[in-house]
Amino acid sequence: MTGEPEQRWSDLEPYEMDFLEELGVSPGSVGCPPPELVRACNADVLPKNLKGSVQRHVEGCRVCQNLARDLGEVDAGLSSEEQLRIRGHIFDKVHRRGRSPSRRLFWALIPALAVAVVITLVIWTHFLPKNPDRKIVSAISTPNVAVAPATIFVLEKAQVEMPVPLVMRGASENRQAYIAGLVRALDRYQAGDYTEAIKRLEPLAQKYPRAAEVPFYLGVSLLFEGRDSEAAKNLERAETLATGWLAGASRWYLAIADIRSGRPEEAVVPLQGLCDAPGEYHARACAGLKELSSSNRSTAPR
Amino acid sequence: MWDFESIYRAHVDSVYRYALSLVGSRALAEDVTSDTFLALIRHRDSVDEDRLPGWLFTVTKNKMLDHWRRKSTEQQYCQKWLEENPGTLNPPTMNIGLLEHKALKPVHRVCLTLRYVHGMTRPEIARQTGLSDTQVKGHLQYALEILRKELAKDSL
Repeated sequence: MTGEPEQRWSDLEPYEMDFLEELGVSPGSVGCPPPELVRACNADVLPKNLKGSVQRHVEGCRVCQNLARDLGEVDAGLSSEEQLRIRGHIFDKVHRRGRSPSRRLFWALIPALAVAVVITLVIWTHFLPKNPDRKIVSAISTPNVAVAPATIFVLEKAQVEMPVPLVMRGASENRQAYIAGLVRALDRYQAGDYTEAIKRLEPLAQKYPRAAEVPFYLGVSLLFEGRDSEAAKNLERAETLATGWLAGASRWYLAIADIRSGRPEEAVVPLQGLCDAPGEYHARACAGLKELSSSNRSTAPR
Repeated sequence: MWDFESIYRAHVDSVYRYALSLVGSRALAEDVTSDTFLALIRHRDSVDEDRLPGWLFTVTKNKMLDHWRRKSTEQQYCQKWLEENPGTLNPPTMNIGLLEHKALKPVHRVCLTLRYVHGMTRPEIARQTGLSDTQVKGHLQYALEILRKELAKDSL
């Protein structure tokens, strides 16, 4: 329970020993259940076999009753260290979950997915009309494109996909330090303090060059600071490293960075990738391509 | 858009406090809090934001039930105590009258009880209560000082 008597009483200070001696208190067997058991009993979250015995004890023991009540008054809220550890646990568990049975299931489903893709392609190529926008897209892929007065490409804050599945490879990197650093940086990002977020993300990018989240959030923060070319470089890096939601988000923000830095023709590739696949950015990317192509038509020499 | 971060920020403290009230162990409350938010991530498509934070509290309570059920099944944690205490009440090692002395505040009683009834070390008390080691030491010294004075008064 709370340890053997010898261990329990081994770290008493001299003044404590004196006092206990005055009181005539000596080490002995503790008859009270551990505090967490008492509180769980009071909160009615104990299974029946335990609850009966604990309840019988607590009903007759004022020490336990007082302790349960007093602990409720003493409980401090979350400290920043505890906050950090909880976020770290969430990061860590999602990361591990990504590598365990669900991922094996994903690989097992690959053949079925491949068949579904083939069937979809056959139906698409044989029975559905071609997408007229595709021609326009190839037309605007020429360098002769003016900066698009894009409206679909409004810069919105990227959500913090907490926990972001970590894309870290290599055993030499210190995961805990990485998570702690990332959480600290994202805290500033969430608060809209992009200058500080950049300051915190830049050293992380140097230290963990294979983590996709760092260049992504660094890129988005740089966009908000108006440093579009630097943003594009970081988002390009994020796109090569990321998987899942983050890969799509990286493409979308890369397209925005390209447009804002006066290279809309380079935005076509990431937008096309997003438009061709289902996902959160599919509709926006397709609309963006349309917007770029109409902008191209209006500015192209006749 | 479903914004996990803002939901997390809005409710993490209350979920943690609720978990702590159910279990009394800060370490376990931490684990249960992170598990609860993981459950929210897993069920993000089916959980309506209007049902928060009630949904989070229900998950927390269920996770705590699971925890104790597991512990009970494992019979590693509580069985010893159950065998040693088949419904009987052993006298605590410290006089209840002292612990209930009116000059003591809840924080003093908690520190005294955990230290002299449960025999915890100061770092263990700090982990249990969220106080720092120095605070625990200070509260214990102060509480003993109060009791000593009161005992001296009584003996006069």
